[in-house]
Amino acid sequence: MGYGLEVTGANDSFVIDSSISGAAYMPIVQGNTSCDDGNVYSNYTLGDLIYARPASGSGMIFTDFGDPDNPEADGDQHFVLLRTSSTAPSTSQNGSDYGLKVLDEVVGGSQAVMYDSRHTSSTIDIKASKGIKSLPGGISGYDGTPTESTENQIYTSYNSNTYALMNGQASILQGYMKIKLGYHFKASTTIIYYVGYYQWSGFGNQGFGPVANFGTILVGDLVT
Amino acid sequence: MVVERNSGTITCDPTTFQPTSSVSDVAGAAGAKQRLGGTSNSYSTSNLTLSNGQSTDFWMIGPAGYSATTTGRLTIAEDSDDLSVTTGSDPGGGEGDGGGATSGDYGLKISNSGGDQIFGTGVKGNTVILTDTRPALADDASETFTLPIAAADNTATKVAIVIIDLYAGGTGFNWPQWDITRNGNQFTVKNEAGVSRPYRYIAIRI
Repeated sequence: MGYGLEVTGANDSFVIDSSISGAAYMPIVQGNTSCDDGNVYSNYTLGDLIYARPASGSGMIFTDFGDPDNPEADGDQHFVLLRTSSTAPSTSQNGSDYGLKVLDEVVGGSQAVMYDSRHTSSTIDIKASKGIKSLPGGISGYDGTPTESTENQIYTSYNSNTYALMNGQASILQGYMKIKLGYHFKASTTIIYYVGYYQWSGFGNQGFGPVANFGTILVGDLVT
Repeated sequence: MVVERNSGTITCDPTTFQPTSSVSDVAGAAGAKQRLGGTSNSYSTSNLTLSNGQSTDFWMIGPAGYSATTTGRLTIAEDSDDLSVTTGSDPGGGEGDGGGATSGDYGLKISNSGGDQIFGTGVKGNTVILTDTRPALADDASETFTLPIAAADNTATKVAIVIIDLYAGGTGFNWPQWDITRNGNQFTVKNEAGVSRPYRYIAIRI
């Protein structure tokens, strides 16, 4: 890079690089908020990242993106919203006028905000990621139990501050077809399993099967 | 290389006694060598014969890697002493294989008012590097997008590519089946659902 800010952490981990055109850090723009089963995530804007956890601390959670502008929680949840710095609404979350602000390159005479420490006083620190189709999913039978296999384990150290990325998950009901892609925060353990399956019933028949994850899965701890 | 000499010399009793000075490696590849003290002779593993009032310069090398020790020994007559050199632990990788990165004592750190770090070295955050909402993609069709990063960084552990399925209509036996492949600094999204489906992708640098 010719100029700007580039910070690289241990093991070549990425922190920020202002030479990446169009990149934008995603601060938390809405802190921990409740969203009951069947309700939309309040203040969600298309493009936000939704990180959620079961409201009770354990259980299964999904998200219905059937209306992409108004995704609904499937299962009682607590969630936070992340939004790109270029559109983050507040610059007073840290209670001051000073901090660190990083701008994107000049495009068309203007610069987008890549990072502004005044946008947030919290963060999601990513603890685990899983690649596409790396988790097979599965279910024991029609209306059965999602497969809790080692292959479906995402994270083994979850706590009350651990959230999972809901973007890319699903809760779809199409006539007699149901598809679920989400998470199982297993009670009495610290394990998060991937849940992915379909089931259908009609014309006197029924069926079921696994659905692998079709997007990278992220799990992180909320730092406040 | 830093060389520090003290002014110590051996005292022989009787003064005519001429002890042998030798070197050896005790641990690791110390490569212990010596030369007659105060001279510009080349260091050697050969023994020296010392006289009253002379000294020895001792030379050795330290470990090449992290968390390692080399030990060399100097023996004069029946007395000996060891010198060990120990390196610190690996602070983590920088560009390439190991070294040069931060271990937590330095770097960029932004904390909230409670003192908890919310950004910087050691925190894996979410940075979107490419995103778009796409119109319906036909079954078995694919689209390729170019990421604004180096090809070497286009891996699942460094870039999370999230697909949000936006299909909202119809009935029947179909469900989201997306596949993503990576090549160089590009990724390709393929719809394998059996019907056309719109979607949104979000590429996150982690």
